[in-house]
Amino acid sequence: MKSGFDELGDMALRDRILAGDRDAAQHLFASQFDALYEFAHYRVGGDRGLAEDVVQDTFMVALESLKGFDGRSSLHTWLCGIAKNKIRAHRRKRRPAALEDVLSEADDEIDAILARVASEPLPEWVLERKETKALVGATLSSLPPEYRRALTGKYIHGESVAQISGAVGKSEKATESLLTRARLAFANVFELLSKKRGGLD
Amino acid sequence: MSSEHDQPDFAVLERNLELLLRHCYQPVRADPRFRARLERQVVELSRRSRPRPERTSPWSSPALRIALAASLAIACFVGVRSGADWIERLLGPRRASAALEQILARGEVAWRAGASQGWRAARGVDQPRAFVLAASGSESDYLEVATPPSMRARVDVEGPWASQWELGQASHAAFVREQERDSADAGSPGRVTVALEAGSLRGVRQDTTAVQPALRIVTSEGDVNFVHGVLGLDFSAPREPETWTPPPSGAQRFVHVVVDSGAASVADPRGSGALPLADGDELYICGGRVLLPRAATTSDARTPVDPPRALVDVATPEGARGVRGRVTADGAALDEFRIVALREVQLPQSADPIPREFSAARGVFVFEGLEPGPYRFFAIAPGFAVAKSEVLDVSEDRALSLEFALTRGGVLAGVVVDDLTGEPISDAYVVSESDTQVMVLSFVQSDNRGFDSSVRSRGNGAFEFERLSAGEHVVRASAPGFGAAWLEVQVVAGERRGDVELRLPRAGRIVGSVRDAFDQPVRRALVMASTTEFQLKRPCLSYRPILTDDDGRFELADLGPGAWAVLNFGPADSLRSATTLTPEMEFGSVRAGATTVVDFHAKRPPQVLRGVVRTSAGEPVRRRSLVVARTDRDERDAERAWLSCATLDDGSYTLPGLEPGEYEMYVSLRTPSEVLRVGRFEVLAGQATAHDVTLPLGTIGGRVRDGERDRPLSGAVLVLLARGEGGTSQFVGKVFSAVDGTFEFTFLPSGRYDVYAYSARESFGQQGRVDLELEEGQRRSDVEFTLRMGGRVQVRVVDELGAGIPEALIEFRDEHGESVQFAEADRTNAKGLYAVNGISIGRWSVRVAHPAFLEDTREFDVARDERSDVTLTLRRR
Repeated sequence: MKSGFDELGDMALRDRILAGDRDAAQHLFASQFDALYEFAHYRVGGDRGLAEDVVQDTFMVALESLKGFDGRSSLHTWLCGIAKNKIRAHRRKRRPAALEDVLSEADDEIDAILARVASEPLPEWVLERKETKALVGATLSSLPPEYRRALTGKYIHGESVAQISGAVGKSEKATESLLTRARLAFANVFELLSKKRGGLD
Repeated sequence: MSSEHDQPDFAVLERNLELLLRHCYQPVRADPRFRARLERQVVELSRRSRPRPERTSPWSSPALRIALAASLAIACFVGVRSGADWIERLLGPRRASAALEQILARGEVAWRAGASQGWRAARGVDQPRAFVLAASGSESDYLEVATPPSMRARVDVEGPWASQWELGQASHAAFVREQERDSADAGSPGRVTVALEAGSLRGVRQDTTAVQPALRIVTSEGDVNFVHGVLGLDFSAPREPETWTPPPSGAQRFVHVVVDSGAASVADPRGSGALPLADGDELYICGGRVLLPRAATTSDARTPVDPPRALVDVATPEGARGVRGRVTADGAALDEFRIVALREVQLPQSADPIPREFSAARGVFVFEGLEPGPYRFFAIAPGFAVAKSEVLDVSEDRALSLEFALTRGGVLAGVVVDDLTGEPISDAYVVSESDTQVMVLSFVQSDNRGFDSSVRSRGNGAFEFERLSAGEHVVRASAPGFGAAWLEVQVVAGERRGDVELRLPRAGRIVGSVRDAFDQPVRRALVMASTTEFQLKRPCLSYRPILTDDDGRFELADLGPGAWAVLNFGPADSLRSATTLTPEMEFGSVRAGATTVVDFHAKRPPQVLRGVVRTSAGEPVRRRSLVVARTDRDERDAERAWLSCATLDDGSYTLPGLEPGEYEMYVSLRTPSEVLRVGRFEVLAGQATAHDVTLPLGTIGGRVRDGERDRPLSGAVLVLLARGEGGTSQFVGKVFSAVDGTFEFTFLPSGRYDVYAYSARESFGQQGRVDLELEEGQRRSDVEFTLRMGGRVQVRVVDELGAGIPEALIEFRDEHGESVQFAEADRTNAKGLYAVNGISIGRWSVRVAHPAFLEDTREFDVARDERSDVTLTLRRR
């Protein structure tokens, strides 16, 4: 269910939170928590305790430095940036698994490849690889929230374009376009991660 | 994959996404309790983030208040001058400085050379950051320093009243030196004043020749005249306020003064003049009032406290045996306490601590049942420091008496930092070896089972032991990614020592493998890295344990540079019944950031197994893997020697290096990971053994379908069990369904079988087809499965202390009471966990058994696409 805050931009939401609007803070949390948690989850090797620490630290730092958010990126990107710093701080004390290495190396490149063309058909045996689940989740966690919402709505929940457009607050035509970009983005990021991890061959 | 110049094929992309997202995506969900708690926290924090009037200080400290009446005791200064000018200059316009806040927020030390100058960040990598207030010859010299929570600073004041000051973390102080203006005495050295606004300050005065106080320290509650020696100030409140004279009502702010050595003075509350302070004196200033210890005299403000003693002179009843004694505190008997007996043994052997809890004991305890020998005893009670006895000889023919008078001990505080960068290390494991009730102390806290006297460092690296026994302590700190560090410190009862710094070196690691005489990996062998100081230069021997993995490999990480003894104790499960330990030992030298290899490879005895594998039709079974596993070991010994080889084109095989004993043989099927048990054999000592294998031609096969999407299911796991007499079942083999969903078990003899299907990818519930009859040479392919979404279950098996129990046997029964096996051996892993990712929905029960514990059974429900967490706490036998 959409709230009135859905209509606000990130800067306006920031201002409302800085003014002490509890509902605005609650909306920030509700709209960002799941994606942020998933983002952290794949970057800390699925360690639940560590993911919780990272997410908690991220929100605390975000609230303390919210007035420094200038709107040049989305709130989600800004929060992920804070989370990356927290993760790096933890990683200095730990030996990360390969996927964490991959993600941390790929983070800065992901935006750069969003414009790339999709890949070839994936063979079915890909689905039998146990790493595929992690790669799929890691790929989704790296995409902007709108792309995630569109892709999970269509391919997991079987929603129509009309239903997705209602959820993301865009026209159906704009939602079609969003889906196209989301598909390409997913394919390119997935390709990047699978190659860097050593390939599926 | 396509290049940049290729156009996307959206039809292909659509299909790919359908496959990946529908089949492989599993949403990650946070713990709902964590989510709810964090949401409350975020909302609450946002409510506090409303704009507030700017503070006059970067920290949440009250404004600087000068007890002008006291500070203007001008006679204490060299030179006659009102203090108002410099105070006013020091205070300046006390508004929050954005630059100061930014520097501190970056974790840097901020400083400025004038009250009206801008703040600057101190450069350099040293910790503490060093400053100098030089004697410039001008009328005044000024230095103001503020430290973030992670940094300290040192200020050297040059000139006639030379001194050194240590500014603690999260602290703020200003140093001002003034020369007399137009003074007739051109040689006057002027005056130095230090204003402490926040945090802590420690003065280490160098000039010891002065007879008049020459340095005034200004704080919000009052001034201290510092003559010489070592003086510490902070803003902490009395820990035991009842032991001090009362402060003014409503008092909020305290200044704590400690004279470690030398001399200082404060205004005497009982009259005019100054209250002199000497070595060991301590007091508080609050609201302009000086708080003294209640029992203090003018010259002595401290009452020493005796450490606990253990006396062997308590009257003992005639004919008594065992160890008897009393535990008191503050002269009164304690009702609740614990006594731990630790036997003195020669390292590398170690003894387990033996605890006894006493409740409603009225201070009296009797400790019986100890084997004769030397023991040290510990008394532990909440709110008191650990008390320990000397080593006493427990014998069968006489009783021993002990008396423990517990005290509150002393406080030991400090910080754990990275030796290389000086950065604080949070969540470091800091332990007092001297107050710990074990001889061998693991770097893994859970291994020490609560017998360690330990704390964890906080986010800023700070730690604090609130109650340590008086005397010498060896304190050890360790943290992931770092080696350990040790420090010897003296703890005085009733006192607080807060200057301990443990600097952890960067870690290296030792890796290696354990292989048995057959050159096969030894799984779950216990390997330890131990410090090499067997002669107990420290109270405890420190070690890090690890179990080898399925490939017999191990990695001992977080080892500090230096020499380490690496010990291989062999299979962990066989240690339970061992009365003495005889590990293999190698030595490894660790360097920071480097890997050292230490292997334990046993020599192979010369036993050979040979034979030919054919079908019952006489056809050689070529290019298949054969795996043999020992079956005649003790049931509790989970270690099995697995050996393997391949059959040649003529079906022959040769397998060297077996010990005499009984074995099972498995043959691979379509792929090496699909196996079938094909018989038993015995290897005799001292000779080659011939074992030909004839494989029957019976086949059980079928198809697995995805019931959710109505299509073949590939990658499903099929497990085959043979039904024996009396309803028992035995694992026979495991295969995977092919892309078209088909599967097949070949080389089966006649008999009755059960087949279970599980999904390898999704949380499909399992299905079983039981009591399938197979005749000699029959090929049946009619076993059909349709798997549908189930749930997941994670079973956690722990002991009463909460530690995971590995290798516990797990038995599941469905709602019909049928036993369902999900793997060849349903056993918990090293952490005591066992997870099933595809189990059918409904009511289940799980039975957990382990030879060292009483078994337990629990029921649980499995819901669609949800995970059930089941924890069973087993009690020791």
